[in-house]
Amino acid sequence: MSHTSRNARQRLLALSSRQHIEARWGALGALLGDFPPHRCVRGPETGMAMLKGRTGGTGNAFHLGEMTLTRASVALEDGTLGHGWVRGRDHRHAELIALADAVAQHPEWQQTLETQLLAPLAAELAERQRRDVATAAATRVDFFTLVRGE
Amino acid sequence: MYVAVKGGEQAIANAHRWLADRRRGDRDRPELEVAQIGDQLRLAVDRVMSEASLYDPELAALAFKQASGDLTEAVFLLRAYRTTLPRLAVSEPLDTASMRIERRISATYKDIPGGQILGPTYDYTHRLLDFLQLAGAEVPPAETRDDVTDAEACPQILALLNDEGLVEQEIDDGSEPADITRDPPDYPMDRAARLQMLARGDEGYLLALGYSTQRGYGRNHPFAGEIRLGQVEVEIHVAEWDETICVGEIALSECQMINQFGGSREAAPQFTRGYGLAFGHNERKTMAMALVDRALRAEELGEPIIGPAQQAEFVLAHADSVDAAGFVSHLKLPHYVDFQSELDLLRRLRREHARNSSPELGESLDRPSTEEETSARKLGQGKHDQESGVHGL
Amino acid sequence: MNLSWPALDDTVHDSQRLFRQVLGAMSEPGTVHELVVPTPPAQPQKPLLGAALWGALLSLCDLDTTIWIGAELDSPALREALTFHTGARITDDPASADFALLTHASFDPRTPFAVGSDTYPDRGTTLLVAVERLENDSNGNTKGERDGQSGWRLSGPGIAESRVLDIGDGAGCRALMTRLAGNRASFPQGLDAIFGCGARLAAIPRSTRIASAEARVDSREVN
Repeated sequence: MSHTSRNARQRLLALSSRQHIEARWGALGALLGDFPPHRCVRGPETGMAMLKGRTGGTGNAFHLGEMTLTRASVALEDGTLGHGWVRGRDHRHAELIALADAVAQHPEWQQTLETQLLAPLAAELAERQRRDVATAAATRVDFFTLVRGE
Repeated sequence: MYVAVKGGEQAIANAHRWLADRRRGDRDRPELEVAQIGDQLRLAVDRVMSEASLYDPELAALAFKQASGDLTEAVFLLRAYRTTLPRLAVSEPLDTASMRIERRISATYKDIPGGQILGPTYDYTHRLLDFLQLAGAEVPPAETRDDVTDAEACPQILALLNDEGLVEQEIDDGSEPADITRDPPDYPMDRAARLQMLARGDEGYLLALGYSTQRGYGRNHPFAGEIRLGQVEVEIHVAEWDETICVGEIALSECQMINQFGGSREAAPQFTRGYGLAFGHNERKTMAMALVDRALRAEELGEPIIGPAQQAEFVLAHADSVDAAGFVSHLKLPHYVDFQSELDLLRRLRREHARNSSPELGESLDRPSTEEETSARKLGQGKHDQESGVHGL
Repeated sequence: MNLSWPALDDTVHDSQRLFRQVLGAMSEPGTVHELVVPTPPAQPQKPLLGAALWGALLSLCDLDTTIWIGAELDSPALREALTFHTGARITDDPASADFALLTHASFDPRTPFAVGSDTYPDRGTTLLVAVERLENDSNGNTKGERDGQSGWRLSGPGIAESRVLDIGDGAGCRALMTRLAGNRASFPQGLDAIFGCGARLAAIPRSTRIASAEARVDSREVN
């Protein structure tokens, strides 16, 4: 599965743990060779997102409550901008997402980013979700009807 | 009225030090880590997040630790921290239909698409204390069914009834909801604002109110149509890309209550609904919330308002544990002057009462007090011999 | 995206520091405060939206605030920068604006800014006015430049006796000060104003009485 769309990449990186991203990031830098230095042009900063629910799941929106949210925007030396957002308060996580966004805008780096970072993270995420499904499935009720006497 | 008093700084500092010492407990045992609380006391953490109205498991666990396990204090701590953060975004409405299900049950249909999934529940336990936990026994990992790799779609069960028109439909009319954290609540309040207040409401309070409707104070014949717990992705719209993006996922609990039907000459009879939604695993709270939500719709549905749970201003104005705890706790502030004036008033009333019922005794009570008496009164100790005499009259 | 409009170096602490300075300017009307803020880019118009007002915007605005921008200061780059750094919404409706960004030259007293209500007087619009001159009588810059016509004598809460503030002498300045003096009649409803000139900032909240500088405080209010 390719994560060339910004949207899919942002989602994958936000759902992956920072440790998993960081673990692959160092190797990625070496592969990219002249890995570009960057500076933060906004943040990383932590604030909140107000979350909306829907009445009855499908009806009018209402405000459920807030969650912590961290965002970062970085600029590479050539001026390429990257943005990242992630639930929680992990500044480095948001910065890494923003960096990946900036790096992905360079066609010559896209393939490396995909194979070295995004594809393995996608596999990890899929495995984690598969495990959750298998655990929940073990608690699924199989009904059987008892024969009742006349 | 409060009096500005100075002094006690050392006493306060030492009291807090003692508190920290108590919290730490026996130094021969390892200190509780915040990560352990998030891991092993997660239902407490979820409750703190829900009532603090801030989703951040780590901070909620920290608040719980700092509050020595006092949930109300922990909610207060997290609510206070919340005020230091800027709001960076407002999410798209959470899509609970696409939840990654951990638990999903229905009390109205046995066989449902996606099945009844019990999840990590306390239901069906025997409520017998487990002494193995006292002994620190090994806990086996959760069972899995590795033949199941893809989650079967779990449609909202009320949508099944919707198809037949048997239950009222919840349709988005596009209206922008009120936000009680920005605009002070005003009564009467629409359902969106009510749900926001209930979602941060104290669980015990909502539980009692929900229970009261079942016992007849505003009965609305509920069925648990569907309860689901799981992970839902959060999406926000970002101006930088002019796109809606996923920023992570959160645990949610949702309860869809199906309630007694109404109808009129124009509208065919159909079931009505109550709704509960909360952060984390908070099943009991969402059930209570759904009962109270439905009760608060009494006026809209043309039902008589006979129970406390149906009175919106009463229910909503007292639902917040931070508000409630704050106002009750303020009674601990020095009320020395207030109380002194009450004492003086009471003494005067008693003198008048005595004079009216027995002029002679009244005069003796009326004589100017000596200096000794005055200082005794300052300590709140009257002349007991005379006043007990008044009691006897 | 145009990044020539700079962010604060240290969002949390810089905005706290700037907020404290704006608070100081508001609570002691007419005092001039020097703000340390990254300088915004050059703009064709005069007066410019200077560092002081840019800093005030960065520290006062967030997702919950709406900003109205006067035509002469408006630009796509500014809008983009405000959205990017603060998340504030830009509005064309002055009556729904929490903040209005304008210059003295273009001030039109008929613009229907929000003045709040008696229940919620805080819901009035705060004007952020770019001016070409900003001096008060304690700047030591009084001689010649302020000939008495262009200064305004302020009194009221936060001012020991009176304080003279000079924001320039154009028709727009006079119209603006006349409008602010009118706050007295509608109190507690009204408009608050923050003036910015380069990195310097001063404020006149709605509680301030305004008279022309040569007038005695109690005899000749502007309106």
